[in-house]
Amino acid sequence: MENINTPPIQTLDLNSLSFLLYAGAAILIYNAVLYLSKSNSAKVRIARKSPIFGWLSAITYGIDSKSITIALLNLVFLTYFISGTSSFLILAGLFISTYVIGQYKLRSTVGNSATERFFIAVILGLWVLLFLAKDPNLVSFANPFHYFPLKLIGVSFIFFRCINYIEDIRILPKHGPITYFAYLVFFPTLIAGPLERCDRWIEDFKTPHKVDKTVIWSSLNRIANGFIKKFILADFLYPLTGFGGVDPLTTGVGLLWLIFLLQLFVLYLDFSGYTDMMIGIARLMGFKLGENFNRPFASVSVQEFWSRWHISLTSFIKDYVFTPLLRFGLMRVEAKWAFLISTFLYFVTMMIFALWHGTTWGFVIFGLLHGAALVLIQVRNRIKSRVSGKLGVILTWQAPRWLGIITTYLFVSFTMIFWSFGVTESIKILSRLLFISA
Amino acid sequence: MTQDDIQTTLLGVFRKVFSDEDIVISEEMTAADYEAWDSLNHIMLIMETEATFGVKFSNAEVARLQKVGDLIKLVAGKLG
Repeated sequence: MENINTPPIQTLDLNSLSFLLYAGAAILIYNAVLYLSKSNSAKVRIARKSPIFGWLSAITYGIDSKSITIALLNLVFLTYFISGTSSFLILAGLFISTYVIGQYKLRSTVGNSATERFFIAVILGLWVLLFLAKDPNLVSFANPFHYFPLKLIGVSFIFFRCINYIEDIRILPKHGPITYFAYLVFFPTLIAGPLERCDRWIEDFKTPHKVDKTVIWSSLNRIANGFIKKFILADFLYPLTGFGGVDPLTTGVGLLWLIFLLQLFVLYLDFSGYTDMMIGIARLMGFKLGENFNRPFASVSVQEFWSRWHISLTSFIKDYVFTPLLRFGLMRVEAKWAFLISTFLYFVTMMIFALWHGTTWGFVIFGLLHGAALVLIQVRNRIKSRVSGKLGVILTWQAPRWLGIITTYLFVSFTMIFWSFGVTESIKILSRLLFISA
Repeated sequence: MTQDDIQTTLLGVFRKVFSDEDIVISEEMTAADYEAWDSLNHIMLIMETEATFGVKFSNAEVARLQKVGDLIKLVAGKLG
């Protein structure tokens, strides 16, 4: 059995006071630089035909007080969280190699199938490295991060940003390597996102959104709300989500229900509180980050839940995993297989998303359960559009909203049990919760 | 090809993908405005648009499409 004395869901470890002080200083410094700098970008050098001159020009583009300031602010923050020389070297290697590959893609002909296949291979490689870096014990004998760990919080988000960079390179605004580095380790989003899209980030960097009195007030308001949600409410309720010596297999079912219903809620307070703070801080630096949460507990189905929870990541996976795979699949089969392929891909992307949270068998079960739920929803929608008459009405009965909300919350809460306990224990706990066993 | 021409041709694409002769499209229209416009039909729309106009969209370009107007502009850009 896992350690039952520690609350299973870990809150984001962040020293509130020193972080706020740092963020405050960074906001002031960056805004001062913005105010003082005369232009937004370095002078563009005219590149001669020589490829070397073209590369030199690319690498030195965008080096100005603004980009150096933000890169330094991010770097200082990063050094607080990164540990070990190998971590730093790996990160540097990742940054340099993805920058170079991105620039190479920018200069390559679109539609050349050999180079396009190379870039797809790079993306797939980054996905594999992402999982290996996140869990150094995964396939430990062959996992390079097992021998050279990349000890950095939010490491998977950095890989996502690299993937985003290479995927989007051809539509990105002109930028230099310092800007790319600043995007990769942007301090408000380093720890746990939101996962911002590269093109939007660079646009906001080049042309910061105005920070006037209204923005300052609303951002401080948002930061304060986030602070309260995370450091006061979530931290206060957190011990109640653990077991503190209590055995979930023998304790009263009422207490079990309370703990497991509270866990999802506390996770929401913690994660959305963190997100609120980071969005507010980034806004005070001129960056409009995307939202991560949109009233997730108003969801009437599991599918809706994942469109309202951790939106920056689920939308990223939809745009850069689900959609490309679906396009790839549909191009190669007849139209009659389209539904089957899309349903299968719903399942696959759900599994990827689940395994991103963790790579134990518990997370596999979690993925299978949520994947199955998504498949059922797809099938139901299909039936609704195809079958008429009494059978159609029965099969596609629309539950009342309140029932959908409750069921969704229960489903997500109870499947989360698999995150913290072994598979057998989780099943035993579930059967107790559902009054199947004592 | 003007953007109006593109929009007219696109209307044909929408009618074909959704098998709905009565559907109307506007620049501000999004997936939320039409019930059958789910993820699968969205990709069918993209692929049918590519085939109809003889263009190809990258993943990045598809990811940025928020409304029909964006698709019209994207096609216009590809056609030059």
